[in-house]
Amino acid sequence: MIHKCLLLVRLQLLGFFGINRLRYGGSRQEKRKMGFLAVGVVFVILVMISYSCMIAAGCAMIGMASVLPALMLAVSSVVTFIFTFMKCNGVLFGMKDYDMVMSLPVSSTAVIVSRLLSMYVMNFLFGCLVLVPSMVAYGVTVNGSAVSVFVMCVCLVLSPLLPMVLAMLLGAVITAVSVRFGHSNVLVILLSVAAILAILAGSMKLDQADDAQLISLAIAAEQTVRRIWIPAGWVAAALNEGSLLQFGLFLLTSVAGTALFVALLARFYTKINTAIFSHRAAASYKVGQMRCRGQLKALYLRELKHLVSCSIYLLNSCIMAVLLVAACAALLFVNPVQRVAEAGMGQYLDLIITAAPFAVALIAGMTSTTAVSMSVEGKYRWLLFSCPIRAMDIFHAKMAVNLTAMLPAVWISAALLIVSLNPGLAGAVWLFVIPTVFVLFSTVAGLFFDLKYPNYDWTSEYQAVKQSPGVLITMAAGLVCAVLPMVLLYAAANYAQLILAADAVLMLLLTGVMYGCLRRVRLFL
Amino acid sequence: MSENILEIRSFTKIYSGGKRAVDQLNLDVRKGEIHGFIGHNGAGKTTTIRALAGVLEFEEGEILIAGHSIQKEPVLCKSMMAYIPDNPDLYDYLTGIQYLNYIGDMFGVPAKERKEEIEKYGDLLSLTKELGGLIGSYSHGMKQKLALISAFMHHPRLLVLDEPFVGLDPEASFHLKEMMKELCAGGGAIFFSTHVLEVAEKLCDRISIIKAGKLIASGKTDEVRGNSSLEEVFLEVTEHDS
Repeated sequence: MIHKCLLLVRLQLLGFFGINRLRYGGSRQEKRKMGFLAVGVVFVILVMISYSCMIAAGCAMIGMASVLPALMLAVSSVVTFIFTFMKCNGVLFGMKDYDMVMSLPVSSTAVIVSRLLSMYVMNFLFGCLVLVPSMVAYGVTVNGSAVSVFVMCVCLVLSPLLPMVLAMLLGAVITAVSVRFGHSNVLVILLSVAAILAILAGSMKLDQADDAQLISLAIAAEQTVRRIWIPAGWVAAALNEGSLLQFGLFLLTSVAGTALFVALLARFYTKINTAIFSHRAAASYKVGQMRCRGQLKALYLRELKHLVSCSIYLLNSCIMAVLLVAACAALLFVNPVQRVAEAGMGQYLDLIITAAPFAVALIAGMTSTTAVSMSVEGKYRWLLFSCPIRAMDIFHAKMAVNLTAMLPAVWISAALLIVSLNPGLAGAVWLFVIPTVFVLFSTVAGLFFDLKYPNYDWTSEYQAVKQSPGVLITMAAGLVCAVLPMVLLYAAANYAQLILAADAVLMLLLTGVMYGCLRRVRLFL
Repeated sequence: MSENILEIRSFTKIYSGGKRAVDQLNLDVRKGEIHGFIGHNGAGKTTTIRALAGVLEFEEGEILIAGHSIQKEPVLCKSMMAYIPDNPDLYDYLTGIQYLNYIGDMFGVPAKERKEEIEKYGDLLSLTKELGGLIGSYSHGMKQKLALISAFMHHPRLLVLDEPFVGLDPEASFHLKEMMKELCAGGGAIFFSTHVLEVAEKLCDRISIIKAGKLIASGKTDEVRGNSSLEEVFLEVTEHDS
């Protein structure tokens, strides 16, 4: 069984890491794309390592390295949980190669173990990024004995198991109950947004705290984590208090819990997957009254349905809108004007208020549904291209969806900022105008770049959303267009109104030029 | 007004790398005609079908739908046509009825007519009861049936099908043939590719055979076949030509 299991793991990992595509992908374009992706992955890894190192060093500096094991284990567990939850539908349940794999002479247990192992490898690597820096900090400042290092290494190896099992249990339940109705998407979206908002709120709290507050905050956070995620408490006790019992508990629960899960799942695995593949809505539909819509409205509604049906598409494209409103709402309770004055930066207050529209624009312009809206059509695009509609109508529908998501967000944010910053009449107008212009820009630019560099040949929507060049280019364009005028405002504050007006006009011109180019586009396979 | 609903003139498609997938193809499909398009794998059938459906760009030649150029008036041409590819990937995130309504909206099918047509073809292909389910949960055959309902629903003047019988159960295949005949009896025309020569032989008024991008035989089915079976003729002309 082990040999067959390892063969299955190898097959899984070749797919996960795109090793085969890189080796045998053939086209130079594909290899270049993989190269860009690799650079992006390395960048994200470096950011994660530096962030993790900073937290570890920060805790060590204020003498609180002892809270690191529980806190960082909790962080890595959350990452593992979310990653596994998002991946388990498609890897463990309802996978495309189910028939092929299950028809091989291997047991269900071997299939489950192979799937778990391949996800474990990914989670272990993520876990290392989060845990290793904090372990080094802990070892250097609190306890670097051989026993401590041994305990840390065992914990590092075992840490992904329990969150993986929990995520898969949740995934199994949701899959069994609602996967065919798309409700799992709602849960994924809610969980992810809640997690991001919690991180944002936590970061804001940390920013405001002084050393004494930080220490009490760290202790409180550690105690909360130990209460909520009990295994983190066991690890902390094993390391801080040398409790072998707690270490044994962690070891036993991780290994036995996983083994139990595999054994249980092996019994019901075929049943669950059979239910997934055979389940359909009750075959009792009756054709009722029909409602006709215009072409544009029909296209728009379909775009909207596509967006909300795909959690990764929705999260990636619209999370900034949520964060923007949350951040602006948070400012209502912080009194930023007073805080800037207290921080001795009163002389920069005008500049901050004048530049606020660009800050809103920067966040709003970072993402756009249009930047992948053509790529996500993928294999379905023949349907659009063969319909009797102008390409421009398709584009208008796609643009309308982004405007629906982003415009209310920037307008609400502008209104909230007017309350918290009190920028005067001109400032208030700019708070509405500049972000609106940026949203128009990113909407058109997203579509323009996605059409220029489409990514239609994907097997999972993750690839379309995460690996389409249009997203990165649109983001970079928005970044440059927002940061440049901010620098100009700093250098020539006296010409603020002129800079704001010139930027708005320039952005509208650029938007107009790209829109003009879209009018000449014809869509073919 | 021309009797031809489809006219293909000197159509040539060259893919990147210089490969001529189709070379100087000339072909007509008349009103009321079922026209079969047969050939080996990679002969150029799908390329031709995609080009005339307006989803594939081409550089040389002209394709006219009811006298209108697919390149110059694509929206008008597409409004007179329905196209189903060999592997119809439909929107998994829509239910069957949502998809049919979407296509109905695209082709401007009035509500009353839409309801009647969906019920008619849905019942015929035994899919009506399943229309409330997500397309993602449909089998290949069910997706094929749904695509067929969406195509027949708006009474196209030209129906273009790429391998329409693949994945259909025998009952659905029978009904599809009847639906095809009915459409043509009402003045429509059908151009379809197939590897099932027995079906082509029995169903088609005219047949065209393509090999390596070139048309090697075209005419009334009886004339092309002569006293032999279509299979024998097909093997003879494709082997002889090589």
